Amino acid sequence: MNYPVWYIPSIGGGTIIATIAIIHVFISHFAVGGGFWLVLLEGCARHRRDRPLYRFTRNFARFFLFATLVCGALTGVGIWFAISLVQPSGTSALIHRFVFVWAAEWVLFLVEIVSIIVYLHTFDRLSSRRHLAIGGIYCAASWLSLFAINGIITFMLTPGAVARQGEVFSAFFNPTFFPSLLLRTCLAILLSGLFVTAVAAFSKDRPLARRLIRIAGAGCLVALGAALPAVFWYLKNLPAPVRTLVEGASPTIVRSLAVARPAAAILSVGALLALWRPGRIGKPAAMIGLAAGLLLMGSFEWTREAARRPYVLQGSIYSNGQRADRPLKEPFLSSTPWSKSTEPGRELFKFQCYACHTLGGINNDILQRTQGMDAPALEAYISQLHAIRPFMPPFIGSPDERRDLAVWLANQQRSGSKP
Amino acid sequence: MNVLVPTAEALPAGWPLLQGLLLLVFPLHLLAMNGLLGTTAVVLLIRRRNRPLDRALAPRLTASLPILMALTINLGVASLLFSQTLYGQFFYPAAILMGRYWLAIIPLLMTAYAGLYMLDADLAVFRSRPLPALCLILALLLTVPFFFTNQQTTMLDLTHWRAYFSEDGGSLLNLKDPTVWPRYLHFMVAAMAVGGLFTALTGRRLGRRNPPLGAYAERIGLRLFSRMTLLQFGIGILFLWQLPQPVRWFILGGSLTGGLLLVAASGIALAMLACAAQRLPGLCTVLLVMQVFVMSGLREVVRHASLAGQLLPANMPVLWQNGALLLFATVLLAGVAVLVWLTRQAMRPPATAVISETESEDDRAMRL
Ligand code: HEC
Repeated sequence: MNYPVWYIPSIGGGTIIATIAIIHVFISHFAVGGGFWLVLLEGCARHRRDRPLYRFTRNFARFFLFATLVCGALTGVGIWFAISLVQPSGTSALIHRFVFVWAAEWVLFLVEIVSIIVYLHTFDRLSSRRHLAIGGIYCAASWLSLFAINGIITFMLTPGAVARQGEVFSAFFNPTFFPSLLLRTCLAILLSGLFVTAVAAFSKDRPLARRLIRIAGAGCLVALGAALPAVFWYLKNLPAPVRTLVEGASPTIVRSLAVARPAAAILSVGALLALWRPGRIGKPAAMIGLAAGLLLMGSFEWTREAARRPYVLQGSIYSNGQRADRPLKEPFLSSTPWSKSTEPGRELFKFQCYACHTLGGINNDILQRTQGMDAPALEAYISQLHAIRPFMPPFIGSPDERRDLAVWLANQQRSGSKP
Repeated sequence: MNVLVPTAEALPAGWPLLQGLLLLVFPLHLLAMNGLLGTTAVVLLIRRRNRPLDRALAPRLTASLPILMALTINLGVASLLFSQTLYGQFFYPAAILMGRYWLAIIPLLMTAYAGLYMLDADLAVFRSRPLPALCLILALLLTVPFFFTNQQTTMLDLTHWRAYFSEDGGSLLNLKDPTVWPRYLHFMVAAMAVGGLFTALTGRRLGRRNPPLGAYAERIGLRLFSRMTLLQFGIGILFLWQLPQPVRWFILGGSLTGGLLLVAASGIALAMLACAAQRLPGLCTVLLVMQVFVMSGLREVVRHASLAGQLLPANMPVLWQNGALLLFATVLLAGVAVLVWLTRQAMRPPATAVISETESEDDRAMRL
């Protein structure tokens, strides 16, 4: 589709999206689960007239507001800004299909903001019933936002049989909608439990901290336990080609899962320890827990993104923004108005490979991947791209263009390998 | 049709409806943004002057800033959503051309937002020397709309798009366009005026408990408001002057809507000046809200005139999503009801009347 490409070859648009997205999902799942913890702890404190716990809840609410509004809300907008730049065709397609879902999510976002601000500001002013009701509204609004966004994200991976743009609900409730919703709800409880633990670990009131860490540990353990069947349910509902990618055909996913497993193990052991010997969870352990949570969440998102390859919208738009129904042999550059004719090799790389490969950067560097291949070898490889590596889209273009790209890559190889 | 313009996607509802939604949320975004930016400037001014009344007023105003920021962001999201739906084929290329700056908006806003919270929390670092932090925050808040102005004008100026062929790294601002600076100034001066009005309204509220403080805030606020509104006439004319002739003609009589909106805007501006002189901040606010809606309408007229021949709403395919639309309307209604209830809770007098001086805050809370 006809958009310009924002070309920063040493960094790569994908790296930018991933960086913002990992921070965002970490905070935003905390934002969903954190409301539940706030209401739980406040209710407990009020019920038992437990003053230290009450004070803790109020401080936690202050931290929560700062973290979720400043970091969570803005990184959410940040993802959208980044995908508009890096994946304009995919973004536009999603916006036009789901604009009213997004608009509904915007209303929920507004309710979230207002309710959490009012919640914090009325802590010592309103009756317990009213104040808890405000917390409850926050919880409902934030979980429903997750509900809304979940439909859009899962649609990108498993659109099901939906074709027409006008069909919104069948696209929304797609095959992985419910498994993903369950999994994300578990992750929300888990991550926010880790934050409760961390804030408690910094509290001076040790007996209170021990109590809190025990409760949070129990919550995390339940969430981890429920996440396991959710993962299998998720996998079961993936279409076969995606599943083979996840089960080992994609080196990216293999690496990503190699991070997820130890992170999950650390969290399970930590949660058991928190239940059994909460006093042992000090500041370092709490920080390790948060780090493991970040890695777990990050590798889940990374895996999900990688599993969608070579598509940005499964089955219709490739990761490099090209339509999947475009004829493969037709000359590419002459039908790409934003390309310039002076450097065909560079332009072909920019419009077709750069979406997933950097040039001399860290993330999936094409120079590394093509090391030792000369122009003819590259030309042969490019013609087989999709057949050899199903996570790459097929090359679109005439045989001349294929040669242009191969020669250009080989030249980069030579100039890039010189220090 | 310019070949660089991507094919437009089918609209999910008729053009007038989506355009109406944009014209509903964008003025609200502007009001929140102007309040935020202008009030931050007011806080900086009075912190510098630092007389006793200034010292009393500054924290009251500062307390509103993080909330205004949250609302600005939220309403901005809605505006961008409808804007991308209506004008995506112009919107995305314009953002990509200035990708670095476009993305920089996020860290700039995050820094400013965090700074506002820290100022409001009255952290020790800021208490002694609030000015450097305030200057930084204000500078950040002034930079973000400059980038937005660049993006929104790049959308309208397709000749500028060709610059991409010599620079595709996303660092193309639209500085050669003569409308950029007047347009930006037009928004910024409006923001200062709204900041003044917000200060005056805060004064009204404070005046119930502390009449001298209230009267002071109202006076300085309304003075800023009327000066900036007066200045706005000059900047508005400059902006109009810099618009390309065919576009200008749309406003000066070429289109009935454009002409009527301009007449309405001038009339409202005069009425606002009169109300400010009569010390009527409430009426000023009503007029101001009307003015922002009228101006947003005028902005759409300029957009359509600038994109004449490229943007053809009547020819765009529409695939009505009735079910989803109904869902949105329901959520919106329910959301508004909940928001009203929440606001009323925030306004309730504290249920914790102080019984004895010795009772701690926590004990009082426990009685609830
Ligand atoms: C959808 C994303 C995507 C796009 C687009 C893409 N690639 Fe790849 N490519 C990958 C991934 C992922 C790998 C494997 C990385 C790894 O091994 O960790 C890869 C690996 C490669 C390799 C190494 C081959 C191998 O078997 O290990 C080459 C060569 C390559 N890509 C060339 C290209 C060229 C040329 C283009 C443009 C025509 C392109 N790629 C477009 C994702 C992509």
